[in-house]
Amino acid sequence: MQEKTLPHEILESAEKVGFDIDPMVAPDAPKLLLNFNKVVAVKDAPGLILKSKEIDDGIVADIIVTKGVKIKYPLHLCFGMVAQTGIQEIVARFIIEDGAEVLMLAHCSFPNACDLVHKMEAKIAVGKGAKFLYEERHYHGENSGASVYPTFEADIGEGSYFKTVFSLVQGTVGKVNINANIYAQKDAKIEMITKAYGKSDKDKVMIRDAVFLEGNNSRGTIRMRAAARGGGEVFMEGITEGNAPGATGHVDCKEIIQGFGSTARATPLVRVTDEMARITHEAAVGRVNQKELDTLMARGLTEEEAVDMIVKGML
Amino acid sequence: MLKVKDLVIEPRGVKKAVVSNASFEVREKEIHVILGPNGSGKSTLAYSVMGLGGYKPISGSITFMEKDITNLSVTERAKLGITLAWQEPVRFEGITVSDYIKAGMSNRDESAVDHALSLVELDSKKFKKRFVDNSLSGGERKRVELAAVVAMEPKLMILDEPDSGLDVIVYDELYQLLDNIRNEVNSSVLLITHREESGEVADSATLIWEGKTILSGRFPIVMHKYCTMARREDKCRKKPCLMKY
Repeated sequence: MQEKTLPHEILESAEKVGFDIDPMVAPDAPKLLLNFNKVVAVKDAPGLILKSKEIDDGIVADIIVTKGVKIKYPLHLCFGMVAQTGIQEIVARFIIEDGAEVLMLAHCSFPNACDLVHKMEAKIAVGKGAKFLYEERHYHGENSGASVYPTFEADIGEGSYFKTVFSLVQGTVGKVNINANIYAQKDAKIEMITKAYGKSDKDKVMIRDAVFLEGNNSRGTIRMRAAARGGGEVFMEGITEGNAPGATGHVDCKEIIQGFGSTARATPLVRVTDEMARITHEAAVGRVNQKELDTLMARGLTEEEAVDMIVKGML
Repeated sequence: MLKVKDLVIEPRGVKKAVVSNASFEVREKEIHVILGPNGSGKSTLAYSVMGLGGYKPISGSITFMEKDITNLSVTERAKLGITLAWQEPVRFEGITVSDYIKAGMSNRDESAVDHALSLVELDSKKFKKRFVDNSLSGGERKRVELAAVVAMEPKLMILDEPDSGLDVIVYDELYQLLDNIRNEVNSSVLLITHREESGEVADSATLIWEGKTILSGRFPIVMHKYCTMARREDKCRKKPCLMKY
């Protein structure tokens, strides 16, 4: 094991987004923690292979769970950067072999970002009968100074389950442009949950989540939740294609807009090329539901407190 | 405690007065029923007493604890001790039963949440961490709403048709529950309904017909008037009915 110190600002921001840092820094906990282009801690486990190579602006990493291995404890990943400016680039491959199971908790922290760019290119390959849960929470500081551009390509094998949760609701956003393409093979099940909160006119969020149901009886759900206030912009596009018999999918987008100049756009896009597939969608964009507001105000909350509670609940 | 006088309400987006002349009074610690057929303006009246934005009266006055609250906001009225439980309570995404109940409590004590849930006969261990969303059945959602209202320890609870959508068999249970709550919280209750079974716990009533107060007084007398006007005597096969009151 290689162990250095993860800057306290990164640990603090992990706590801000709701992660428990004790298991993250525990010596025996599986982890791959990064500050800029330096790997500050790496700990593997039986059946878990973590390979990384530092490059000028980041790292190249392979994360592999070998055939049939069920990783008992969550694997903690940190892609952080305490600097105010700079470019960090992560190129990662996630390989979850047949029958393997793992939960990964990823924390992307840029607490001091003023003019900082984070790029990530992830390739995900999940074998047959495997289970891969991936949760990524971001904190971009309070200056709207981060530009974050992740792309994900995932192939989910026969009978496997893949769930991903992306959350950017604490602090500011800056500029975020996420592009994810997930391909589901026979009997695979995909769940994508995405949450973002743009709080000022410097915050611009664009997220495109796409699920392609290529295998018979594959299933996919995309759930997108966002709020924009103070001039923030949030655009979300959830795409599901049903391209095989028995494929079923659903896209559910909900966005709340507050304040002059804010913009929210939700685009559920469904495409079906097989007559035995079925994809449904729903979308709602607008102000906070008046009855929800009235109900909480009838409990004594001010309008601002009520809106805050509703938005936090949704996100 | 609550005095509503000559109220005229033209809800936002409606070009005529839905309530054209309503007056009634609710005394301390009593259950006062607003009776009337569908569309008579009962819920409009309830929303106006709560101060909801679209239901501001165009004339008349609402006095609560000797204070004119006609122009106060919803939040201000809630802080004075008035609250409302809706006929069809709204669902919230991502808000737990516990957080929802605590939202209206001055002392956000966990044991008070447990107590409020036990009063509406819900097991706090099973319900506190559930979400106030579509995963709750209609009956469970109504009970959670009552628990949230009770937990506020309000001086006046406005309950808009808490009996709607419930099975006939559970009416008695619901009214008994309201009576227990009233005794526990020492609160007055303004109960909107058209069910005669509410008479089991009601102290007084007001009949609203086409937006106007027809009669206020003891429940059996008002209920009798309602049945007469609605020609329910011929239709009602539940015997004994009015004799019960």
